[in-house]
Amino acid sequence: MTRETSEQPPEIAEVLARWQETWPTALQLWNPYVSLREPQWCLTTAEAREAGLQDSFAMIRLRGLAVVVDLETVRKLRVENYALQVLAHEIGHHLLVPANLYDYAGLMMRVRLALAGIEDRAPLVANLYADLLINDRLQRTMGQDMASLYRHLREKGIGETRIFLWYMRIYELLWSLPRGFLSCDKSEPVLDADASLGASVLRSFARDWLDGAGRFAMLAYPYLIEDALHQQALREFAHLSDITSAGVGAELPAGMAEIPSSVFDGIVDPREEVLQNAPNHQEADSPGRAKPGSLTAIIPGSDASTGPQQRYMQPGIYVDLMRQIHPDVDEDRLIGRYYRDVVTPHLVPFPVEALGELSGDVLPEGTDPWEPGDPIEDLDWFESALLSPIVIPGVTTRRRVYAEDIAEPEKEKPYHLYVGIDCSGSMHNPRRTFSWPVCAGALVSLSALRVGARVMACLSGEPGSFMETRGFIKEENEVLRVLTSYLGTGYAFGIPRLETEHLQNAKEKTHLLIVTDDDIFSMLAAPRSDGQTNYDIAEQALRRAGGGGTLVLHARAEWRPQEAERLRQMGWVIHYVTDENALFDFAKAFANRFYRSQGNPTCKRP
Amino acid sequence: MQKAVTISELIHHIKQCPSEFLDMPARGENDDGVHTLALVNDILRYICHCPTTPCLLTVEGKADKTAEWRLWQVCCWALSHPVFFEAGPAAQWIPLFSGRLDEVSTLVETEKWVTDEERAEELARILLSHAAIIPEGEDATIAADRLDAIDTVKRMKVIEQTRQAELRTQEIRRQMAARAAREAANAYGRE
Repeated sequence: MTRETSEQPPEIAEVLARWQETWPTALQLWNPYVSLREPQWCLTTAEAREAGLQDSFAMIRLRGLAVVVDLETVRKLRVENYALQVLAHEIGHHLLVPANLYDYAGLMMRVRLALAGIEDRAPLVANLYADLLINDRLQRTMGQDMASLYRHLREKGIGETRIFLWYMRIYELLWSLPRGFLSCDKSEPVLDADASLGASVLRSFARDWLDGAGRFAMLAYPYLIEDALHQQALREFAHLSDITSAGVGAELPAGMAEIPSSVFDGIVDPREEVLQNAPNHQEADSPGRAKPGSLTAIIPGSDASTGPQQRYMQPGIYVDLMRQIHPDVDEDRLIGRYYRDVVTPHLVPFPVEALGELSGDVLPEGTDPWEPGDPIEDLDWFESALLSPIVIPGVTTRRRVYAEDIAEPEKEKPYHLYVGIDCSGSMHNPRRTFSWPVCAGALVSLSALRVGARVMACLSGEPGSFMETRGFIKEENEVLRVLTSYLGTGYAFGIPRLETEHLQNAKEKTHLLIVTDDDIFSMLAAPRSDGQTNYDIAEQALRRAGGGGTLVLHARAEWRPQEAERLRQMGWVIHYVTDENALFDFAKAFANRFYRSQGNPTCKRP
Repeated sequence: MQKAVTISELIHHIKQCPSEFLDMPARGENDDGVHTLALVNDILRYICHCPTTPCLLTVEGKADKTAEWRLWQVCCWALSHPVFFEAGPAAQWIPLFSGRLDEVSTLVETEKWVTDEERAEELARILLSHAAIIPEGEDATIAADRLDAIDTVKRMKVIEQTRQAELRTQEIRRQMAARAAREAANAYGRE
C-alpha cells in the first residue's frame, strides 16, 4: 500500500507545481461547487513559520478559509506524493470538522470539560479527533488511501507514546488494516480495548461529531495525565497538528459562555458506559442518578457551570477556552464578551418606533415649480413674484405644497445612567469567578445603551482606588471594560465619586444606581476636610442628577434602619438583597422599569 | 473453506434487520411477543434445506433470558443471508446459540448489534468464523485478528481488569478539578 519514493526529493519548484495542480482535484473530491482560495504555498520553513505554521507541513486558518502548506517540510518528510490526501484533508477541516469557529469552540468546550484538570491538552485531543473524522471519511467514503500516508509518516519513526499507538490502532480498526500496519505491532490488550471503543465513538458520531468529542477525550485522558507524556506526545504529533492555530485572527464567536445542558450528556467515559449499559448490569438507574461515567458522576458537585439558571461557565474558564482558540485576543475584550453573552437574553428589546396617527390638519410645506397644465388655483403669485418680477410660466412660477399633519407623540428621552459598583475587597474578581454585581451592572448598562441613553460606569473600592469611564458615553465595550475590571481595595463604594464633574455638568436627567453592601453606611458617615459628610455629597448628587437614585444593598433591612431612613428622606430608593443571585432579578426588573419600550417611542420614566 | 462475501456486505445485511426481530420474546404460548425458539429452529431448518428436521434447540429452566433470546432473534436475521445456506449441518449452529451468543448477549444492548457498526461487524465475524467462512479479501489470520480486536468479551475483561486504574484516574481528575477550584477561590476570593 505504500508508495514508492525516489532517493532524492524533487526540486521545490516541481513539488509546488505538482501540489498546485492537485488543488482543484482535492476540491472536486469534496464537492464540485466548493470554492476555496488556493493555499498559501510556503517555499521555506521560515516563510511557513511567519505564516503561523509551526512544526506541521500544512494547517488551516478559519479566518479567510485559508490553507497554509510548508513545501520544504513536505520535501523533508517525503510526503510530496501525497498531495491529494494532504490537501483533501485540509479542505475537510474547512468543510467537515471543525468547519467554522463556532463549532471549533464547541469542540474545544466539550474536550476541555472531559479533560478536567488537564485542559491544556485540549487542542491536541481536539486535533486528533478532527483528523480521525476527516481521514475516516476520506478513506472509507471517498476512496482516498490515507492509510499509506500515515504508514509513511509512521515509517519516519514518529510516535512511541501510548497515545500515539492508541491513535494509530483506531485507524487500523476503522479501516480493517492488519494489526501493526500503523501501530507497529506494539499494541496491547488495554490499547486494543480503548481503540475499539474509540473506533466505535468515531463511527457512532461521524455525523453528530460534536456529541462524540467528550467521549473521545475521556478515552484519551489516561494517556495524557503525566506532563512528560503530554510533552512527548506533542512532539510526536507535531507534524499532524493542523488546527491548533485555526482560530487565530478570527472574530470571537458569540454565545460561547453558555454551556448547553446537552453538552454534559456527552461527557461520558465510554469504558464506564459499556460496563454500565450491559443488559446484565445489576445497578439500576434511579431518577437523579448521574449518568454512568459522566462528568457529574466522576466529579460530584462539580462547579462546571454558574450564572443565571446555572448555564454558564466560569469567566476564568471562558478566558482559557477562548485563548486556546484565539491566543492573541485581549482579555478585556474576552471578559466583556463573556458578561455580554450572559446578559444578552435578558436585555430589554430594541425600541420600536410606531408612526403616529394623522391629525387632520393641513400644513404648508414650502413650494414646488408650477408648470403650465397645473390647476391655475394652485399658482402661488406671491412666491412667484418673490422669485422674479417677470413671470415666465414653468420657470418662475411656484405652487405651494401642503401636507397632512401626523400626530407625533412627545418623544421622551430615557434617563442617562450612572452605575457605581462596589469593588472593594469583599467582592469577587469578576474575571475569575462569576460576579453577580457585575452581571447586574452589565444588564442595566447594556439595556440603557440599547434604548439610546448614555452610561457612566464607576468601579470603586475606597479608601484605595477607583476606575470610571470618561463621562457619560455610548460605547458598550468601554462600559464593559470598566465594569469587569477589578480593584479589590478599600471597604465600600466611594461616595465622593458622585462629585464627578460629569454629574455636576449633566444636562440630561440621570439616574444614579449604586450597588454595594452595608459598609456604605460607614463610608457615608465618614467626615470630610470641608466639614461635610458623605451624606451631604449623596444628597447633592441626587439633586443634581435629577433622575432619582437607587441604592442596592447586599444587606438586611434591619441592620442600619436609621441611616437607611435618612437616605430615603433624601430621595434615594433602597433595595435590599440578601442573596447575590437576587441582584440579577433586581437588574432585570430595573431595566424593564426604566428602559423597556412599551411599543411606542417613549421610554418609561420612574 | 469458502469465500463468498465481503465483511461489509454482511454488516450491511445485519444493519438492515427488520424491527420485528428486535421485539420482546414471548413469555408463554399465548403471549404476543416473538416465539424465539420457533424462529431459531425454523431458520436452522431453512438454511440447511431440511424442513422436516425435528426441533434442534430447546431451553430448560425458567430464568429470564430476554437479552439472550433477542440476540438469537437478530442472529436469525443475520443467518438468512445466502452465504450461510448450506454452510454445514444445522446441528453445528447449536453450540453457537447456547455458548458464545449467550455470553455476549449479556454484555451489549441488543439494539447495538444492528445500529453500531462495530457490533454488527463482530456479529458478522462470529457467524462467519463459526461457519468457517473467510470474508472475501481477507485471509484466515487477518479474519481471526479482526475478530479478536473487536471481541466484546475480551474487551469487557480488559476494562474490568483496568477498572481499578480507571478509578484511580477518576480520583486524580476529581482532585485536580477540586484543586483548580480552590486555587481560583484563594487567588481571587473574598478577603
